[in-house]
Amino acid sequence: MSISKKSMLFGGLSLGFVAIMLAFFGNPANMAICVACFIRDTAGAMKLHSAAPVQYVRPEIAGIVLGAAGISFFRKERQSVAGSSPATRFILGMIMVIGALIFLGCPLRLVLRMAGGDLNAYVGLIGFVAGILTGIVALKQGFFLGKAKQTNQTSSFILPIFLLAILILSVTTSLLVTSSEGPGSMHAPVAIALLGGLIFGITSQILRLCFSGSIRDALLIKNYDKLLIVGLFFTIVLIYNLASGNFNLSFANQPIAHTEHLWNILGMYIVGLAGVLLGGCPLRQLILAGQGSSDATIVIFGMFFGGAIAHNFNLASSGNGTTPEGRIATIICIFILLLIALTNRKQRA
Amino acid sequence: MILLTTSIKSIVTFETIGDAMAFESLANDKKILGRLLPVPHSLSTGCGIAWLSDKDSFQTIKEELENAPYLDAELLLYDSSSKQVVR
Repeated sequence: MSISKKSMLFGGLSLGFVAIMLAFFGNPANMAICVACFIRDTAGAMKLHSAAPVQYVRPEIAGIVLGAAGISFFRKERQSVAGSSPATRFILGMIMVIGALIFLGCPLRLVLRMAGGDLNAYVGLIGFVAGILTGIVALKQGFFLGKAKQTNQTSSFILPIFLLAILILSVTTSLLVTSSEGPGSMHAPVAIALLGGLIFGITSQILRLCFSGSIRDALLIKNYDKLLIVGLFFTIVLIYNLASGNFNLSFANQPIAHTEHLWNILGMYIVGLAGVLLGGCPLRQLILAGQGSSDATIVIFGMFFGGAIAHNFNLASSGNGTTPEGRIATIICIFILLLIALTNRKQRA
Repeated sequence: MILLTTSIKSIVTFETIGDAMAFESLANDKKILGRLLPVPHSLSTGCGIAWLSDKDSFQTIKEELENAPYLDAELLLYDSSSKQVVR
């Protein structure tokens, strides 16, 4: 009925291998691939923000979307749909990235940090699960952003073309910014990063992978398929870290991480709740957009916007911890999420 | 014609998770055997939830859904081996 156990095994291991490859070839430590951070970096390269250490067009983002677009076209699963509360989705995407930048990672990076021994990530996991649980309550109460409808095919190509164009511009011109130091200066070669993104996009589309969905399904309907894939991904990265001496079990001195437990919890709470309300984590939004969902495309644009304002208004955390602005923004974001959860209910006849 | 094979299942897909949970309660009350699961990949590229039951429950489920018009749901007969909708 669902994907085969063999596909899950192969998929989880492939994704883990891609993460290892990207880290090996130069992506930041414990951040081989992070959708929120990489969208933030790309926004910086486009000068949507001016935080010098985090400006670089990440080919992985284009690769994921293009990979998902290509495989869904090949499997005849591509559908151009739109119309499910786009403005609300934009805000949810913005908030999801702000939450991720408070914690310093999307759910994908959460798992990578856990596999690196970063105990702060395990603390963040508490918030992530709590956010998903809150989202499940909202779903059971009838939360619904509305049904998407078929729309013109053109709309479904906007994001893949946009990301491809940005990538080409970054490689062939000096229009876009590249950090000379900091995380934005750490990156795998473009071809390897793009290949990694393509593999991630193709595999995630086939497996319907979603980090928030994996926990949602386990808690809601006791289905563990997606969680198994995430578990395999975690395991292979953990084994690599242990074998290569990159495993450091501690709270302190973790790369691109802070030890403020409350804000790690609340940051990932935002990501978990927003992910359930949106019907997918940041990675899943890229896949859905690649498959043709203009609603997911709007979410991605919201994420770009969120990444930009997180740095323009000093909301994002750093290795030194959270900022006063970031802490205020966290509380406001949680309030907005709960308001959205309460006010978007399916109207029953 | 319904093929007499155990690979034929009754599947109910839903507009919302809330509808899926409401149907689960209804099915438990009416003693309809089955369970919730992710929508089969061959039916949807989304992350929705469906109700899976045996083919013999098809008529019972159809009647219950007709008596519960507040649920946005679609009932299908699905062949899990060929991954095709039968009806």
